[in-house]
Amino acid sequence: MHNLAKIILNLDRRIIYSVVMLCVAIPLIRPFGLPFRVTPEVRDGYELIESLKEGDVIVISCDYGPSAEAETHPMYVALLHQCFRKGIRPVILTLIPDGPGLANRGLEDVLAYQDAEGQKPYEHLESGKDYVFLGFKTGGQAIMIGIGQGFTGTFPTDYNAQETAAMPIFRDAPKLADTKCVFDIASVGYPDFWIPYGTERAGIPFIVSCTAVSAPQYYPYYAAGQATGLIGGMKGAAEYESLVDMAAITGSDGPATKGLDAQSAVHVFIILAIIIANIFYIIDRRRPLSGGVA
Amino acid sequence: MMFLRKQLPIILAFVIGLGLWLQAYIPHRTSSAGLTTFTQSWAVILAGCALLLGILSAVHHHWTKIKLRRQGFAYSIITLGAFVVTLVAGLSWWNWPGFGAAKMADGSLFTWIFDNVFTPLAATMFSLLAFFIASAAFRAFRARSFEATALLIAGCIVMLGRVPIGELIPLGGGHDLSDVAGWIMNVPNAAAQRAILVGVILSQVAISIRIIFGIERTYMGGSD
Repeated sequence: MHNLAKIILNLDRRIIYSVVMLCVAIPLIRPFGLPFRVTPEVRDGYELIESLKEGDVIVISCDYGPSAEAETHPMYVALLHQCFRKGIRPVILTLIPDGPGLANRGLEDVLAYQDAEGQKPYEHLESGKDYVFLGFKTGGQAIMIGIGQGFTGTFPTDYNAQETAAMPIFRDAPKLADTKCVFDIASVGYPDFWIPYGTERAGIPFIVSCTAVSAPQYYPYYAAGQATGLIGGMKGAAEYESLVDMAAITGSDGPATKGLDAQSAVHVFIILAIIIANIFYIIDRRRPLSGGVA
Repeated sequence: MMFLRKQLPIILAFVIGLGLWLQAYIPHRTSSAGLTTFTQSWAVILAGCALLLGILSAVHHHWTKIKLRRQGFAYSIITLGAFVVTLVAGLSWWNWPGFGAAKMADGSLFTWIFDNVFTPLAATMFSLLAFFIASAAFRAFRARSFEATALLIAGCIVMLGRVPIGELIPLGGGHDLSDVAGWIMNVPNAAAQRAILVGVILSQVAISIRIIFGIERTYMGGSD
């Protein structure tokens, strides 16, 4: 038994890697379709957006890069569908240098979306009037303070080099306080700054969507009511997709929902690995000493 | 020269630090608008300079490594090569052969690099964590003490409770494992995070006061 414990505890890491790979690949190829509930943190964020009227303006801060695409990008796509379907006008910006690529791609994909009947429901939407993508500007907290004074002063042009001063969206919402909320989709620590420098100064609600690993640090803001909604990781994004009903919009589950089975399988494997390793660790620890007694 | 290196930074830190601190307690529009506009302009300028400094520092580091043929200098060649190609692709006003647009517009070489090189590489690096975490958990996550056992149990509950399979593990009374995970996140986690947050903010206040009054000088380089 002790020899077995020694073998197990010194298991080649390539075996563990192979099992992880299978745990990810198999559910992606043949999904189990595990059901899940919507948590109150996610529902609160969704209901705030749902409560807005047609023509209302919100700010979406896409503070994530490709490394966190799997967890955060599905949330952005689902949110854009929700906004465009309801006639809510998003002002999209990013505070990190690798943010514009994904933010622009997500926006282009949603605008070009074609339903089952071949219609493009968002084709009529105009940049500067129904939405705007401002791109990236360095400065972080200074940008948050700046848009509190006015969007067009901080971003004189949008991502496509169009002057923002003449845009109808900024005539209706010239500064942050005139928008209805900030929705920060982040893989970095900007939600910590949006609250004191952005939303609390402007007196508007804040919703945070982040990677699973950073979600625990935002629970105090949610508990205090400084964040109206908290959407953590792929599970949170999948819950939001189910609320937006991405399956009905696009004809299939959203990417976060599709990825949840793989995440479940990997989590189960890691827990089994921890349990097995601890059992054999206890067995190994009880091994009688081979040497003589001093 | 000594004035520029020692006294001037302390005077600037004192005047600007104190000014911004007082501004928060003056609820007048002029105070708010004037100072925030001033701060914002300077913060953006300084952040831009910091970005440039970062680029120059990285280029200098890799260039030195290549010049001195240090271990792993081949990686530095790739880094600098990728930097130059991406920079030229993002700044060039002409259409590269095979691409429909210039600079950073859709269909440009820059966008192609972002979509087909940067995105997969960044996603791959992050995805590798799953493999490393699985291996590390198997090797290092041991119930050696009471604290380690408590952490292990809480970790396992949250890991299972934050994925759909946790909702399939009933605990009686109409509850399941995801409810326990939700309670851990909303109560003990939120309490601990709040304590950390308050501690960090109090430390920030203390360090700010030290900088404003010139007690803390390590930001100028050298010891205080």
